[in-house]
Amino acid sequence: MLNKLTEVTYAQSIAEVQTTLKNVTGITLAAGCTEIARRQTGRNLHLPSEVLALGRIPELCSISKTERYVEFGAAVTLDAILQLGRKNVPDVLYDAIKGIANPGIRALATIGGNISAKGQRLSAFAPLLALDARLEIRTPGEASWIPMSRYFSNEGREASREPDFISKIRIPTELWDVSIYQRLGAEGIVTTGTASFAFLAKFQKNILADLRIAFAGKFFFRKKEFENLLIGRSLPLSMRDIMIIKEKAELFFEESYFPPSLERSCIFNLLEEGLKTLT
Amino acid sequence: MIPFELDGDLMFIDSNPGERLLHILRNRYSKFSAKEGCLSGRCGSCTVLMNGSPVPSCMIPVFQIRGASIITLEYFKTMVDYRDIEEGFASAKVEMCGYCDAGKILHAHALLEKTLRPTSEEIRECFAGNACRCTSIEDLIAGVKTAAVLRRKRKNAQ
Repeated sequence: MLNKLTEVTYAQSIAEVQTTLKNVTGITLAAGCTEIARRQTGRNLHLPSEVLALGRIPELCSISKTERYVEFGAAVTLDAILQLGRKNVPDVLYDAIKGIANPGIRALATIGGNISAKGQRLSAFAPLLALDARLEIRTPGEASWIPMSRYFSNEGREASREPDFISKIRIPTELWDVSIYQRLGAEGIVTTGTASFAFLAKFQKNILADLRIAFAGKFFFRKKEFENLLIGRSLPLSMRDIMIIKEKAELFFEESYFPPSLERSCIFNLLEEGLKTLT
Repeated sequence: MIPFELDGDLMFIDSNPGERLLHILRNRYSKFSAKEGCLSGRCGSCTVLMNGSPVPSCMIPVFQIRGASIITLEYFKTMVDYRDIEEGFASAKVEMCGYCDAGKILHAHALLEKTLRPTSEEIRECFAGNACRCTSIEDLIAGVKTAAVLRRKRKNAQ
């Protein structure tokens, strides 16, 4: 018997998604559905009243690679990304995806779903933030590329914003001398304690040429001002340098924004661990 | 009506879009190899092949199977690829309690489709979503490696 409470529309093209977004207010986009399913243990899955299925759109399932970046359609599965191998995916992202759930779930879950899940930020979020990923955002009327850090905000979505969706994710594939990914919380499942941390560093002779630090859990951060304070320093760092940087970091991430918590302590411990690789 | 292919046959199903594929398979098509376990995709007992990939059927709302090809363990057991795994598992004395068979066999098959020389690490990773309590992981590793040898021989002979 058909449940009249949920209406499912199958989109065949991106243009169809845009048109549907324009015409149907509040419709929910679904690709892998793991985010919907993981929160429910009942016999049937409770779906929103209007669902737009995206999994069959070829453009959203495509992967392309150039010398400078790799580009994923938002409905590319995590398993498909792992199958590209470490050669084609930045280490920090590969490690993050490999740690997600299990192979069965990764064959269903999509990269777009992973970064746009509501509430707790999931595993690929911090690595993509650190890698300066750009998102192709489609509204009913247009398409534009914007940095991931500009699309998401800790305060939540503006109510006035036009309905939109992520169609592609472009990730620079530059090489990093240090690439660290750390996941916090229980292994294989998402809980309120789940968070991820990414630390990337690049050297030129004995100088720290580039540094990226990103964290994502209940909230996320990436502060370029803080990274810029450290870029240009001579290497190796001493333990004293690390302590000074850690103190600066604590001043930098003002308490009002990141109140004392386990997550806050973890950020500083992970930062210290990352900096120790530069000693 | 949702069209999909089940074990090689075209089917049409009229259902609540949120019904889990697992329950559709068991209640409408009497495919009992997929067992109800955790209902959160972590135990692997409800595994089926969807478009060739082993997936937990409890995590799939039925609207997602439109146009997909679903293969259950019942059907897979009639395929020639099953013989390698059956023999490999038997030679390594892998227990088959019945509850986790779908996960063990279909994940092993998917791994052998990717590589015919799987490493122990790859085999461990492949069974990460299988809560099997009847067999040790060492026996599974030995079973999959033997199955890989058998499949290599069979493919070479073809």
